[in-house]
Amino acid sequence: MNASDRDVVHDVRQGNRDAFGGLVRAYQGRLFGLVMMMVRDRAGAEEVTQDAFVRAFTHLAHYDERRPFYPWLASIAVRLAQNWLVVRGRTVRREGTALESAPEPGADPGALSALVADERRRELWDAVASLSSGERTAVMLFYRDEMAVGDVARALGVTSGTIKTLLFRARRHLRERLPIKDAY
Amino acid sequence: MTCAHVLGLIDAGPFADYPQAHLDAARAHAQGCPTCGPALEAATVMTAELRALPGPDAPGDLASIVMAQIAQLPEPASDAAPAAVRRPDWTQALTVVGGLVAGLALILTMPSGAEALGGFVTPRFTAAGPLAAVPSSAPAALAIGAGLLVYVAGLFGPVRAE
Repeated sequence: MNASDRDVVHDVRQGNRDAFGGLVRAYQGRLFGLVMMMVRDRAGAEEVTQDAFVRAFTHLAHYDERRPFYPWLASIAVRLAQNWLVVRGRTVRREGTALESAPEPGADPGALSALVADERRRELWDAVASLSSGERTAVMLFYRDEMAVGDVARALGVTSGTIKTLLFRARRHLRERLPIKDAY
Repeated sequence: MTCAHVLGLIDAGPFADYPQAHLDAARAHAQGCPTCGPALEAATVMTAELRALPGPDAPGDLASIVMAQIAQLPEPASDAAPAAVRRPDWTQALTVVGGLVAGLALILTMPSGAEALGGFVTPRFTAAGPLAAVPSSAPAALAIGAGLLVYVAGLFGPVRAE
């Protein structure tokens, strides 16, 4: 956890609720992107992201300040996103088991790329969005959010070995799906 | 080191716990291999691209919506925890005394109980014979009833906040 996050958490715990706004502003982009990739529905992603921040605030007493803040926040968001998917009847089971090849009905990964402003990266975003739920969540947390394998495993409630397997398969699938261009 | 081995390492490289010597050997192989060299380069680019993967912008009003929700929450549980309650000492004493009286009276009304108790208490108590320790039924019932009454009074006595 960096010093500014620690200061903010300390302030919030002292009763300064407004200080929590600093954490929201700092992590809303990362968290929204992660949730968006998981639920693949903009309205759902907004709902889950908001709930995740509110849940983080109400459970701040359980947060261990010795650990980085974002992985803890992300683990809350991942669970809420999984619940959101279950409630809507989409195929979601334990990450790393039935998710590898399970397409989610109703989700349109291609539609998400329209939300990515950077044209050059849209292709990669589409490729990641077309991965299975477990693979794309692991990719987002490990690469984009730069979380350690152990932290990703804790966030998803699985073992580190499962995360490595998901990442290995994700890279293989991405290599197959991305067109041969430049270094690919 | 074979190409298949090196290609497997390339895919697992960013997150696998391989010994450095193992990775160095794979890198050395890739540098001179027409198959593994481009694969390693592509994997390196892919890793960099994934780390820089952009996402959709969060809604502009997300932070204000979250903070508005937080502002409406009640005080955190730790701040608003109910005051601890404690029983006065006299109610605890009543519970103990009442329980002892009722229990003792109950035991003494049973011949076998009196005999057993006599064995535990004093030889003098049992010297007169087991039946001598058994009270008559009316006083025994009275003692049991009174003991129970005191016990219940202590149990449901008032509590005070601290």
